[in-house]
Amino acid sequence: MSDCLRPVSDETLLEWWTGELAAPERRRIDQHLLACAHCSARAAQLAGLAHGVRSLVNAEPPMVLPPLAVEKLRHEGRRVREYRIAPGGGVQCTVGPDDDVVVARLAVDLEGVSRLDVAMRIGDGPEHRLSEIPFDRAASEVVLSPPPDVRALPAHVATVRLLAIDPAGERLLGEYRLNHSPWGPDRRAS
Amino acid sequence: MAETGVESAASDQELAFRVAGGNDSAAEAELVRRLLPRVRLYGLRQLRDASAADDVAQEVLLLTLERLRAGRVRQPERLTSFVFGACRLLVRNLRRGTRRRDGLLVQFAGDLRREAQPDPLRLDHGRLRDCLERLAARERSVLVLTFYAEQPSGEIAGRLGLSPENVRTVRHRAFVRLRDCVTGGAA
Repeated sequence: MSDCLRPVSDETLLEWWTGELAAPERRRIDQHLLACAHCSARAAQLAGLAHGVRSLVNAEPPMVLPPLAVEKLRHEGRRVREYRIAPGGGVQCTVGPDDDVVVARLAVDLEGVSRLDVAMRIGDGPEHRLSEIPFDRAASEVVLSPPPDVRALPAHVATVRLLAIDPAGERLLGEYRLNHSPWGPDRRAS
Repeated sequence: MAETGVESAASDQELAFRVAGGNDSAAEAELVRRLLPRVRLYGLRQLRDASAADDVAQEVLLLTLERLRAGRVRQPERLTSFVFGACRLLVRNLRRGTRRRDGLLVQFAGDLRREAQPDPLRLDHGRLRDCLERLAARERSVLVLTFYAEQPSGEIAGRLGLSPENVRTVRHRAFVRLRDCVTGGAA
């Protein structure tokens, strides 16, 4: 049981961690956390999760990556191989042994889109769908990062469809093909 | 270090008075055990670097013990204010690239070594990955932008076409779900 009479809320701890509190409030929380075992333990848990997410994204970026996170990966010294694909287009792609992260930057006009889904298929396999993915309308692109086990896959064609979901139904925004080949001597210039 | 009954019942201020009274190693050990993770957390928030936060924690605790032992903390009942001031000074110095002399470290290193604690930041990556996967895509992206890209809610709102209030709501919900999942609570 907590012996803290005025526990700091989770919302305030998040704003404290992200630097969103005004200076007087930040100082008040700083001092409270230095004096309160209960709240400082909760804040340490938040810091642990933040650190964990940071380490995890560095090691294994999520499938849908905010464009800003790609810049951050580069800034942190990660080797990023990227492919830019226009709607209806395709690329020859691979994953090199020195690549930390591979991303496909899919150009798309997101004007007027309120909900966006991604449908992916490898070869003739089943279609996997990611619903309501977040997107940066101004960036006019969606960034996907395949999981690390793509390195072990044989040559294949992955198809990605970006779909706007409207009240009237779904609307195809673009289809993209990724012709993947395993890394080999003939791919080093890719 | 295991808590001792008498010390664990005392307040931080009572411990500070006992340290200032001289030659009370149990009070010193308990005070360090309590303050070390809190000061480290302050350093982590300011510097976002675990090693630098360790440096801040060590140096602030060394300074606090040194001043208390020497009777140079005029109001031990205001221990938190003293520690907070020391934290701010040390972080400022670290940012400037200056370090305190090593002499204090030699003098008090034993106390701090005894307080070596497990890294509170260490999580099971597999479990964290699974828990992140369970979040809705929007929640996951907001957490990635918050904790990885270090973006405040206003910036995330601009990028995702949401209001800052909406981002804060999504962020809070995602954080609670992730924490509950990682710690074994309801996901």
